[in-house]
Amino acid sequence: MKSKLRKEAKTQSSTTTTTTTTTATPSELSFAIARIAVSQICQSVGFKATQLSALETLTLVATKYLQAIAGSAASFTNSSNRTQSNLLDLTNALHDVVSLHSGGLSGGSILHRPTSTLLSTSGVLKDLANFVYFHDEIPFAKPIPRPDRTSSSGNSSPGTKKLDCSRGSNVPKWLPGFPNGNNGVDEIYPGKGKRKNGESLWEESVLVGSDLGWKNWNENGRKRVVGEGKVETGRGKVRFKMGSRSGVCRLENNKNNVNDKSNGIDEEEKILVYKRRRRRDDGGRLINL
Amino acid sequence: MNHNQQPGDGTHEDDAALSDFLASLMDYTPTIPDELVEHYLAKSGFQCPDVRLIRLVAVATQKFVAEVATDALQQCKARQAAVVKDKRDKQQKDKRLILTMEDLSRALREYGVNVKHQEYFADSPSTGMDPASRDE
Repeated sequence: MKSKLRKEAKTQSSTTTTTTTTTATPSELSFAIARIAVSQICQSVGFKATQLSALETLTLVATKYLQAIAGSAASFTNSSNRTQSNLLDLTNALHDVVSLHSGGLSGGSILHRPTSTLLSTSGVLKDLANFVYFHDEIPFAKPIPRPDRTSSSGNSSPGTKKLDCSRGSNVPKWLPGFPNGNNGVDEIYPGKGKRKNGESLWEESVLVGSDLGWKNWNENGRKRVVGEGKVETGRGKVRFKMGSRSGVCRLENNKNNVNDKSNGIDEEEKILVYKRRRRRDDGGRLINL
Repeated sequence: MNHNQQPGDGTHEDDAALSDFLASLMDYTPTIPDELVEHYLAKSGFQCPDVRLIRLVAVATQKFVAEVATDALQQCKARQAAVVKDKRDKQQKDKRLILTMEDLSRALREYGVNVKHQEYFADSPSTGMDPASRDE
């Protein structure tokens, strides 16, 4: 009877003081892979079985440890005005994280000296080298298939899907691709070129030769046919002036002065001008008829 | 003069040792797969095309996990030895080495991680029974 009472009191106190360890739910796949790897390590150490909660806790701690190293190294990289991390950043980060537990502070303060090399000064790197040297490698249980980047899979962002081969090596991978302006409608953002009323921007109608009444029109007595998506061949210089009026890019066409009025105006104004011209154009056509 | 020259030779040797170590990482396959490490590195903003650095992070994490697991194993063995001294015949089946929350939290406490867990967490039906049977 007494033991029962004691037991009850014990359970009550335990329920009041306990807190849950897993606060955030990590992503399923990466956590599952990490769990397999951690269980392999535990097996190699000598465990025959494990509680599920213990394994998940250890996996969570391991992933946090990895992310702590990575975050620390990235902050070291950024503080020295770089984007790509190198060995020195990583060694500094390892010293940051490792010095918390195993007293691995040896040489952490003189890593930057040019005369000293990393392996001789950094105790952490020495430990890691010994670990690699003395421990047998236990490869992961199953090879992980890498997602094929070239095929059009759904997991990549829409901007980076197509332009990986065409961009230069100086452009980082995580930047989205440039919109494709050759066709009136973007391939990447299909809804961008279209407007509700069927209007389109002036420059698109020139480049594409859309069917909005632009094909045949007289200007200064010349008949000009805008081809289907082809720019006229004998064109003059095209100059761009940046930031001339409120940061808007201004286009100047020397030879064909037809576009003078619409240069450097906002898009809305361009459309207005275009509409006015279209009206005039229609009138001209009527006279011609 | 001689004193000045010695560190120069030492750094040369250490240079070779460092490059040897980094080259050995190319052949060494850590238990934590590269893809997983790359995922977590990219998540944290770490950008590096060098496989050796990724392997180095993997090795560091593997070493950490192995150390924690070893500590937990020692805790487990010590606890079992203490129990077996008292009741040698009853606890024979308990001799299996099982990673429990109790041992793990003790091992992690040395590394600065405070794990609080429910003592009677419904992990398996026998989890809550063992301490009760020990009491009686």
